[in-house]
Amino acid sequence: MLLKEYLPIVVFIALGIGFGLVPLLAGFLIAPSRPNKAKESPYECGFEAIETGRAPFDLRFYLVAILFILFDLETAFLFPWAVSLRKISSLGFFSMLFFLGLLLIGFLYEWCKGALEWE
Amino acid sequence: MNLLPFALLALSAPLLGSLLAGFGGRLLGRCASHCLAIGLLAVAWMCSVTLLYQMWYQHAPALDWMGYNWLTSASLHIDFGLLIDRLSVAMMMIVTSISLLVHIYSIGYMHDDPAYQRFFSYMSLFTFAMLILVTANNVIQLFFGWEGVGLVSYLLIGFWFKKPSAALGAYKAFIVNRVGDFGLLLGLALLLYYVGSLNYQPIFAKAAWIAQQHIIFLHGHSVRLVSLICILLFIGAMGKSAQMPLHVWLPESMEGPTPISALIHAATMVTAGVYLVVRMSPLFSGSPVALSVVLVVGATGALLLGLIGLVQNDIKRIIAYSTMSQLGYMMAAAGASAFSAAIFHLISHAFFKALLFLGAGSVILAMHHQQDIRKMGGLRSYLPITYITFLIGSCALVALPPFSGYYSKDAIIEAVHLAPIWGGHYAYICLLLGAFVTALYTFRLFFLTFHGSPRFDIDKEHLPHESPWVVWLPLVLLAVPSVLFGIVHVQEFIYTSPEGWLGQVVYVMPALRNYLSDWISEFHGVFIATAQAVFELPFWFTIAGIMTAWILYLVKPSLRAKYIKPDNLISRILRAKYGFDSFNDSIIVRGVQSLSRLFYHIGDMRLLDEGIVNGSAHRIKQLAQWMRCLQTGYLSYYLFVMALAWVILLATWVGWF
Amino acid sequence: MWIPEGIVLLAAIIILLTGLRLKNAKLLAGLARFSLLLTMLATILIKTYSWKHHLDTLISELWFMDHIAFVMKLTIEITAWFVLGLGVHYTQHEDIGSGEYYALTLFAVLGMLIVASAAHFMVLFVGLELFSLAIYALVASQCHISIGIEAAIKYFVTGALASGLLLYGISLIYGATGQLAFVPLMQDLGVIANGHSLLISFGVICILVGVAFKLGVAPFHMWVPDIYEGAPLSVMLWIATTAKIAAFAILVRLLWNVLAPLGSIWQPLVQFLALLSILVGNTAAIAQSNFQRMLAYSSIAHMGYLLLAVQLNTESAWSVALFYMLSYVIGTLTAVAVILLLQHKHAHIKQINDLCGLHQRHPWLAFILLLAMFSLAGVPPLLGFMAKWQIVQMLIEQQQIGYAITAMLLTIVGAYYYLRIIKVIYFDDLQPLDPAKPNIYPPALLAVQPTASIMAALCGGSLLFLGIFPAQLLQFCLQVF
Repeated sequence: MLLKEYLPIVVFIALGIGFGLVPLLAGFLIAPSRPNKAKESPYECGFEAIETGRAPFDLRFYLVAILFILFDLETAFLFPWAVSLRKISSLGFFSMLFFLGLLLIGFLYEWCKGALEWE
Repeated sequence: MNLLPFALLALSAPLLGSLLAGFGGRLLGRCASHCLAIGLLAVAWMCSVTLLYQMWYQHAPALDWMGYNWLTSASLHIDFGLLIDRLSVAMMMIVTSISLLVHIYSIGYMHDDPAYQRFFSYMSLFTFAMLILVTANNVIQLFFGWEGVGLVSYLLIGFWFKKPSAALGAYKAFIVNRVGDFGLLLGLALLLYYVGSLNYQPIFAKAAWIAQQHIIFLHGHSVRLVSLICILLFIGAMGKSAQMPLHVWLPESMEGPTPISALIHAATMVTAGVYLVVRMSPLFSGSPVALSVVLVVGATGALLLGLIGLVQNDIKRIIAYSTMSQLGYMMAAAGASAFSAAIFHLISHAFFKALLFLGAGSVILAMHHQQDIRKMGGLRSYLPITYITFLIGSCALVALPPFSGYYSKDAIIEAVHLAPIWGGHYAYICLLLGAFVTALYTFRLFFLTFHGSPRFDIDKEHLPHESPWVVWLPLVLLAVPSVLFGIVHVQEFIYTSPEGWLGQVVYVMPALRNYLSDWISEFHGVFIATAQAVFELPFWFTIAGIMTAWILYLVKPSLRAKYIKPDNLISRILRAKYGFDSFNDSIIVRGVQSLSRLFYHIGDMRLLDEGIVNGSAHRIKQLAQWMRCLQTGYLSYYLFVMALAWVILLATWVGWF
Repeated sequence: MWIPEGIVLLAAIIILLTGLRLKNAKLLAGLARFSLLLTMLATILIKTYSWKHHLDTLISELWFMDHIAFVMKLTIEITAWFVLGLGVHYTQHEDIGSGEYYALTLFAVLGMLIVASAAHFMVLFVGLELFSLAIYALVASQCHISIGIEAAIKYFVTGALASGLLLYGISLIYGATGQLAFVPLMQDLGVIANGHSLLISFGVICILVGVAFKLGVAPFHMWVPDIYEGAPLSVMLWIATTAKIAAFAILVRLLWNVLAPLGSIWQPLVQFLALLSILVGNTAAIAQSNFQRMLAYSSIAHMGYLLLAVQLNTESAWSVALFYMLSYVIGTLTAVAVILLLQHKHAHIKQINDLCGLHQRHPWLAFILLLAMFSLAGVPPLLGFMAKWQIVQMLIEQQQIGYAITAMLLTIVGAYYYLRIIKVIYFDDLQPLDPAKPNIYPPALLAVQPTASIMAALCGGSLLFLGIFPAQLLQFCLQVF
């Protein structure tokens, strides 16, 4: 009985591995292979692969990334809450409202502080 | 009526006075300082009077007040508490009265001293410590007061600390008292170990149990616990009350100012040992051995130390030896289980001995700080008030009826005579001879000082004259109780109930009962008792002493030169004070010095300084430097150490089990 | 039940938002301190209320309302109030007294209050992370000074490792028992105490390591000196006092309220940590020339003594540990209070030698510092002596005489560096800050600060007073456990 409960996890793992492997394998097998120098470099987002570690890098990228993760996680919390809303009574409902209120205050703070402005 | 506020006020007023005079002395000035100190002491005195009145005439019950738990450590509780019963009230009364008078006296005596305020501060502090000592309801607080009076005594003996003899005398007093305190502390430790408490009440409640305990000592020798405790406590009492052989500090203490000699080294502090023995009577009465020790030591001191007084020439030292001798009488009374008589003598002695010391101070003032009685004489006409009061004091000291000393001393000698305890006969003989000796040295001092022809350089300009009123008033005030105290109170104090006035405070074993109580039925009023003096041996010993002094020093001084050679064996022994000082000097001091020199050179310099102290300091410094190197400041390194420690902890644990 | 925490949270939010516009540090500090006063009041009222009505000390397996929680909360609040009050001028002067500073302070207090009441691993961990993160940020509040940034990063990374280990330990325990709430978990552990598995012992060790890090106990002490030195003085005081009480609260909750039945696992380890800490702290402090680093090593040594009591794992031993904690906190508070008062506008007091001749300029401050040093060294009749004495006595009663002797010998070593401070302030001559300006001496008052001076005197006075009359405080500590 215990093992049965883990079956969805196994399925998830298999699916995850599949998602990672299948496109790679497919590309490796099907795609035509005509390499050149630009294609061989690991990233194509404008950074040199090997350069000095002290290169200036705009901190605002990180700021945006951190803020994004914060609010992304909030949404992640909202999903199970929304699904089980009927079962968790008013306490559950107001708990989430309290949580959202705190986040709102955080949002207000970063807004007023100017963290959301690029310039 | 609640006694507690009065007791607390009586304790705190002198402390406040001391602090004000000590710390605020420079701000307040001389007059305000002594006014404050004396005023606050008067408050304490009035509180003591109130307490005495309540205890004596209203028969208020004893107050055992547990005030504040100062420290608790497992089973050890150290409390601040008060025990106000007849004994402590009597002591409080004595301490505050004498202290008040001595304070007043000091206005005149210390008038020219630059450290005037400091003197008053010390005296008030002494009063506070002494009151703590006598009102404590536990031995630790008693010990606090005990050490407190010891400290102030040290400070006051060395009050003129620029004078080498004063500084040395202070040292001597302090060190000799340490020897006694060592015994006392050991006794307290034994009490704590076996009783588990340091408060009087549980100790006394267990007294009967303690009396049955034996402790095994060195290869199976069994010793009675109670005897050991009592003898150790008595060693403490010997130090404080200047009993042989720990008496050597008291003569040196005369280097302090005379008011101090009167207050501390005659009337109050030195009687703390007697107080201790009386307070611990439930323990002492369980041990005939300890009582015998007390009796024999006391009686021996009463005779032998009095004898030394015969060859002294310093007016204060003679009175100091007399004090030691009288303390011997008190101890002997305690040893004979006549605790009430001991306290009775303590009180009357406090009055007349303070009177004698203050009178001596008055003489010293008049003689411009000349203390040698060979250079006095004929002062009678110059110092009439001092003369009269000194005479009263002397009569009280030699126990002439109807002066107060007669009643107390007579009771002691009778009590010792009747006591069936081991050493009683010896003690009785000592005390009888002591009565003769007391009379002899007292009147030798008296005649040489006040009678005869002047032996000082008479300077018409600066004739000796009577001291100011602040000096002679205390003398007159002290003379009154020196005459009347005995006659008024003796019946109530000793001859009313078997235990005397102290009643339930003291405890006497039935086998060692107070034999004075046999006399209660034969006591037909104080006047008859006074008249009976002529039928008693001590009276005639005293008369003989006075007559001898009169003949040898006044009527026919030539007899002295004829019969008493200055270098005969006895007077040489007496002048050497039985060799206690030279023994201490040559054996103990020099022995300790050479031993400490040995330890200093080999133990301290070689082993401790070079090896352990400097060596370990070097090692630790090296270790510290090494540790400092560990702190590299690299984050990766810190993480590595943390992880390593974690792994090591896990690995140790796995290896452990 | 959550009124104290609510007040702190509300105050933190208000300060955070008003701090955006309001730049008056004094006003913000006043607001924070006022909210702390309210919190203290609320804590006391709730305790008396629940006491009178015999309310349950446990709320839904998540939240303790017992004596320990009450004492820890009250101590944290009072200490926080003192720390804030002492630091007002300093934060103003250093220009770090922004809204964020005080908001983070209050968030840290909130985390500590949660820790003090936690009855569940998750609640405990959330509280722990809340106050840890707030303090990481506080350490970096002087963001233009590289040493401060360095300290913050070090603190954050090592702290993250420790938190990870703690969490790992918790998960191991959970894996073995399936419990996260303290009360049922302790019952379960009591049942399996004799036949525990490797899983549980590894979990206990991981938890111990996490808490040891928070307390700053050797060998998990490497961060302490660097962070003490790099952090602004007011934040350092925060780490040295309030955060230590919170760490002690965690220790109490984990070792006493959960792992007490498994004493056979952690007692020997705690003994080892304790002795190592005393050794490392006392010896390394000797080589320090920086006052804050010296205090850091001193705190390491003190935590060692604390653990020496903790390892006995009896009720009275925990009480003595609490007593020791209080004595350490008051002593440190007093010492740093004096240094905080002494910051000069031209230079900080950083080195011990900067205190030369303090006695000649500020005899009272010198005396208060002397009291603090004597108390930390354990000289009678100060509180520190009583605390050390209690611990030694406890050790002797439990027949651990070897530990008692070792601890006392190392105390003598430790006395050296405390006495050196006293030697410097009393017997060394004033040294001018700069040879060119012979009139400017380092130990000078930042400004006349009556409130802070009174607070410093209060701390010093309480060291003396509680040292002479320790009975009530000791009785109080004994009743907590």
